[in-house]
Amino acid sequence: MAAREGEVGTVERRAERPPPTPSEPDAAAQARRAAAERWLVEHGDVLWRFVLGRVRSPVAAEDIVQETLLAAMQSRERFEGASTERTWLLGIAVHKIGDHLRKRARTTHRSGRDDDAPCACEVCRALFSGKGMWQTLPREWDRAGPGETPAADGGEKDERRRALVRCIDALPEGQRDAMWMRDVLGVPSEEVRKAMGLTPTNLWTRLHRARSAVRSCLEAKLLGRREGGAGRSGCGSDRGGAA
Amino acid sequence: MIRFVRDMVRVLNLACEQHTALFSRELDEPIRPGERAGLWLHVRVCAGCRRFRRQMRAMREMARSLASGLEGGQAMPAGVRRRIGESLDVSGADGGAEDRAMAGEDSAPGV
Repeated sequence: MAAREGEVGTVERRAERPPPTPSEPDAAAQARRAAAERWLVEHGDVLWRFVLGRVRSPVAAEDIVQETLLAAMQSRERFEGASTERTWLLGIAVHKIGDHLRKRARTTHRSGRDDDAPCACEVCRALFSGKGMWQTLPREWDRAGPGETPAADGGEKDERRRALVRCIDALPEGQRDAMWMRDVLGVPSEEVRKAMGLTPTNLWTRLHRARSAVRSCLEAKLLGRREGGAGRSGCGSDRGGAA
Repeated sequence: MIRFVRDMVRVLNLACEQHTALFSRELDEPIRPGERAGLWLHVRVCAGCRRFRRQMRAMREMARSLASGLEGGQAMPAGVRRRIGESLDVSGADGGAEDRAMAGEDSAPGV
């Protein structure tokens, strides 16, 4: 120690910060691994159901859940605790699913679409005049049709949910991820904004366009079915979507 | 009070297409009291906006129910869980190697 006091420069700086003991990095790796194992136990089933429900392929779902947990291990320190741990993990899964769907879209020759493009489908286009006033009123897909029971029964609700998933998955990638995180998972706006690198105004615009497109898609899907396929073509209604 | 009236009048002067953007925005953050009052008055007289707003809220409820549906149902198969657990083990060890490299310890060449 006496000899160290006489030295200068790098030796002094080293003396300020004791050299890492071999157990430190091992401890960090162990902590990371322990956290991932705990996530697998506590949130594995939810992640599995969420991912499988989106991609429909157990093989792809396994890869995505694994990639999600690995990504979470790497970014564990960045978890700020604004949402629950489960919501944070599901948010990472949303990105991984997005990557998977994008790769699949490339292989099936679906062209990428602009994340901030307004909905240009027939239902959306017909809604407003050039001055932004209603040209065609939104139709009542959320209420029972003539001769139907007022409250949607279980089967009807399931069908609506399936239609909703198909409509969200048919959105351009950025809109789809924003809507999954914000509306389905309930991730706070601030966190979605940070994750996607958007300003508040960009996020509101993106979400508004996504929701408008999904609303139109639901109108076309749900009323088209009631009317035996005679409904107008809605956003995403002519695409298979991911589900 | 002046701001309240100004916000309300501004919202009342918007076109319906812009009102729909506010219906979406109010799902994400509280809008100002004057804006809220303007929307409230507008939907009293505008059937299209009233319906659009109701459908936005219904969609949000349906979307949230998708997340709550994740609580029960199919569990992750045991084989999948085991394979993922093993991959985390391997990766955790890799992470340790990274930590060692960052801490300036001797590591294998190329790490």
